[in-house]
Order: sequence, then structure tokens, then C-alpha cells
Amino acid sequence: MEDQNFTRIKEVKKLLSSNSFELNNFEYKSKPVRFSKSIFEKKILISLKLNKQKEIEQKYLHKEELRKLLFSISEVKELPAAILNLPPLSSFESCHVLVHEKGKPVGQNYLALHGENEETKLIAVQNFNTLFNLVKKSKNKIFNQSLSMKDDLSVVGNFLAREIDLKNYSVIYLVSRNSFLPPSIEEQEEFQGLSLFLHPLLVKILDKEKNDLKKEVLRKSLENFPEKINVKKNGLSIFTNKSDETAFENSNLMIFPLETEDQVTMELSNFSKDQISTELYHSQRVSLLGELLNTLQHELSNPLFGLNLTSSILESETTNPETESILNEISQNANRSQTIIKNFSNLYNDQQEFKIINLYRFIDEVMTLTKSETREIAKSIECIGFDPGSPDGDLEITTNPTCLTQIIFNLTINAAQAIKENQSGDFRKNHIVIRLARLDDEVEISVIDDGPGVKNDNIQAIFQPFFTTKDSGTGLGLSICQNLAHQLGSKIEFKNNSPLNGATFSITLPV
Amino acid sequence: MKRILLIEDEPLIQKSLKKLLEKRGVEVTVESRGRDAIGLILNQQFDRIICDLMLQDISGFDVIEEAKGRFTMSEISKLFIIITAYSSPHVIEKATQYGCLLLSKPFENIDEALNIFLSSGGTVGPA
Repeated sequence: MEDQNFTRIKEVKKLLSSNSFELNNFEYKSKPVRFSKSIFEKKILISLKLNKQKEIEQKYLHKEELRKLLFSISEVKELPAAILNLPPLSSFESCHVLVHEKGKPVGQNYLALHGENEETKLIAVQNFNTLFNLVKKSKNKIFNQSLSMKDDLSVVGNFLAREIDLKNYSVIYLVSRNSFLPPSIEEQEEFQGLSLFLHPLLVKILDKEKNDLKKEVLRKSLENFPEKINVKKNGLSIFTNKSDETAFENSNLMIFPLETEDQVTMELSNFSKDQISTELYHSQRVSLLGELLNTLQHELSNPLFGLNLTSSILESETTNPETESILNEISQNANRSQTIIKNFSNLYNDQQEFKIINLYRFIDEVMTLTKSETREIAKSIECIGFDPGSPDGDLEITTNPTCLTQIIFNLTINAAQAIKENQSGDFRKNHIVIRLARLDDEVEISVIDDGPGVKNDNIQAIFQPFFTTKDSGTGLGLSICQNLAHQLGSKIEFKNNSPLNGATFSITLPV
Repeated sequence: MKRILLIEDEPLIQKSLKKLLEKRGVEVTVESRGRDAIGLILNQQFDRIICDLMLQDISGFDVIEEAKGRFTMSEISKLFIIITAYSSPHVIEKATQYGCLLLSKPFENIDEALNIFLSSGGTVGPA
């Protein structure tokens, strides 16, 4: 789940940061391409200078209506029909515009016939290249059907064709009147001159189409992103995939800057961020806790030892039975505190290491740690398939003690909290059982409580991060346990008890 | 064994050990600060020096280093016994370099610890 989201965020970020398009233009529908007359004319003049066709230049720059017609086009597929509608070429029957994006296995073949609907086909790149090279080499640009490209070209007889080589695309456009009458010189001139208009137009349209496609992919991935996303420009929202604004603003956000100039940012609701980092934060906490416990052990064990020593000495010196018993208590309590702090540090030592542990003794130690949280609730450890009471009877398993401690600790605390939430006051009838069941070369450790169990609606969600039914819960406990269980090469299973009340969480480990 | 110097900054441990050792019939001088202890070590005569490692001002190892001004390494190894609540592998290794005995606090068995403190270390220092 986390990995998936993380990959998606990376994808989205990559898409957004590679934007050669403007983020403020998120509309699905393409707008007609417009650029100013002066830019257009400048481009044509450059082309013309290169071609040194001054006559054609004079002729075409005044054809305002031609320009208008062509510039109403926003997609390449509209182009063939527009060409056929140009007055100088209106005697032609069909027009093809073939576009190949360099590097792609197929090209697009757009076709318009007079009085019929436009048509789009695909053309194999080999066929496209054959035609392109042929057109390029031709001087008069007049061809006939003997080219044997029947499948790709709907032409009969002679046709005029012209190639345009763009940076990322190769384009061929051709017209035919579907007869064997050769085109007139005038028509040939008109046709050649057309390329001067088409060159800048195609550059703009094709780039835009590519960007529109990119935008569509981006938009879809953003819309389907599982968490809330809000893209803002200069503080104003320009895109969001979820409509409930209030909920969005109330949550903590993760903000990615996308473009500094216009202050375009992408905000993600905090869910994903925390989800990704759960494990990271957890491991940081665990290692911090380890250090803290080491310090605590040292700082506490010295005074505790002093207490123990002093009270022992005084106890041996006093003759007053009451004082003696009090001093004895002090000594014992100091000892017990010492043991607890020592156990804690031992459990957190060498987090990454797998060690051989005596299971019953280990679980028993963990239970001491849960004492304050499970106060008043009876707890017992049940052993099946082995007897820790007999000499060498305890079960030895090789595992990571730190992980296992935390799992059992969390599950036990959860069990106690479930019991306590269900009722107030008297928990003395309640019971938490830690069952250690040996089955051949495995041992199943189960934490069984007699609380309310998990509601059916919630069962699917209990291991998900941030799912909680407690008022003050973080919803991380079980998800952390499951992560830790994975580190032990296992997983935590859950079932509600039946017919009795309560829940059972189990983990199976190799012996 | 007649005179013991106990360098320990935890008051309860200091007082208890002093009392227990005195019961065994030795004269005990106590010191909480490492720097003051160095003065005593260089100027007085002790049969045994019991030294905690984590002192308020300097470490027990610093005290031993200063003691080198008066004693040979061999003498130091017999004279000093290190006590510590923080027996990491690093600490144990360093104690081994001085050849000193090292006891971890809390002592598992107080009587055994006392026996070790009173075991003959060989009297060193000026008469």
C-alpha cells in the first residue's frame, strides 16, 4: 500500500516537474491555437528567405482568408478538410495529412474527402518513411498511384505531395483530384506555397496535441490519486481532485513546490506522507528509545543500588521489627526497579540482531513491562506442547527480541485497552491469555482477550495505519506490529473469538 | 590491609560501602570528587583504592592516569579496583589495559565484593 502510493507520488512529481506545458491550463478541451500575425509572418519570412521564393512570398502574404481558415484549426485531424476548402485547391477531391512522431512505431494518417466525414487511420512507420523519402527526392512533387500504397492512400491517379521535416515530427500532406489529369502549374505553386503556412502551424498544433495528451494523462492520474491533491498558483486553487475543501484545509499538508515564478505548488493531504514515513519514524523512535534506556539504566541503577545497599545495612542493624520490615520493603522495591530497567535495556539492545531466547521467560519479562497498563486485569501464560516448568523445558527460538517484545507488548496493551473501553470500573473478572502453542517446528503466540472484539465493519481496516477506534489513539499500533512481524518473516493474524467474546491476535514463528 | 580510599559520588553507595568495609576492620577514606581524590592518592598512603568511573568532575580513568605520576603500571593494577554501573565493552577493554579488576554495580553478592576489595593488593606507596 505504502510502496504503491509512494511510486504514484513519484510519478506525479516527475510528470509535474517535467512540464513543458503550462500548469494553469488544465482544461480538458483544447482551445484553438492562436498566435499573432507578426510572429506568423516573421516565421514565414524566415522560411521564405531560406527558400528564396520571393514571388511566392508576395503572393501568399496577402492571402488573409487563407490564413484565417487555417488558423481556425486546433487539431491536426481538421487540417485535411481545411486544405480542401482553400479556394485555390478546391478542385481536389481528397487530402491526406500523414504525421509521424519520430521514434514511434506508427504514424497517423488523417484523410478528408470532399463532402464526406474525416477519417483517421494508422500508418506503419516503414510505409511512412518510404513515402516520405520518395516525396523528398521528387522535384516536381507530382506522383501517381503506381506507388502501390493503396492500403494507406485513398487516391486514384495523380497526386501532389509535400514533406515537412519538423524537430520531433515528420509530416507529409498530399492532395489528389482522383483522376489522371495532371495538376496545373498554378495549382502546383499554390500547393508548394501552402507548406510555408503549414510549417509553423504544425509545429504549434502538434506540440499542443502532445501536451494535451500529457495533460490528460496527468489529470487522470491526479484525479484518481487516492489522497487529496490541491494544485495552487499564486495561492489560488487551480486543480483539486476532491471537492470537500474544508476537510482538506483542516488536515496537515505536504507541499511540493513545482514552479517558483508563479508559486505553483502541489499540496498533498498528510495521510500519504505519514503513511510513507510510519516505518521510518518508528525505527527512529526505537533507536532513540534504546539510547534513552541506556542512559536511564546507568542513571537509575546507581542510586537504586545505593538504596538497596543502605536499606540492607540498616535492616541488619535495627532491632525494631516494624522498621526492619519497612527497610526490607525499600530494599526489595529498589531491587525490582533495578530489574525492570535492566530488562528494558536488554530488550532494546542490538535491535537488528536475531538471538536465541527462552520463549516463556521472555514473554514473562514482557508481561512485567505491561503491568501498569494492564492493572487489575488477570493475565496468564499458557504453554501448549512444552513445559517451561521442567528442567530445560522452556522453548528456545531464534528471533529478534526487540521486534517480538514490541509486538507482544502492543498486542497486550491493546487487549487491556479493549477490555477497559468496554466497561468501567471492575476488570477483575477479565482475563488476558498469552498462549504459546508449539506445533512441530513452529510456535504460535496468541494474545487472547475477553473484551468486545472487533466489529465486522472494522476488521478489514485494523492493520491500516491511522485506523483507530480509540479517542486518543494514533492508529499506528497494529500497523507497526504488522511491519515488525514482517521483519520476523511472519505476519499477524486476527480473529474474533467465538462463541466467547473478545479477540485473538496471533503470530507464528519458527522454532 | 589497613587503609582504603573509596572514590564514589553516589552518597548512599559511598556511605554503605564505608560502613561495610569499616565493619571488616579497615580504615576508610571517602572522596566524591576525582580531582580531590588525586590529591589524596599522590600524598597519602593507601592499601587499596576503590574507584568509580563516572564521577561528577572527571572520570575514574583520569584519576588512574594521574596516579601514574607516583605508581608504576604494575602497582596501579594491584592498587586500584574499578567499580562501575556502565560496563560497556569499551569500558571493560580500557580497564583491562590498566590490568585493574572491574566490578559491575549493582554487585550480585555484596559479601563477595567486599572480599575482593579486601584481597591482598600488596601495599604500595611511601611508608
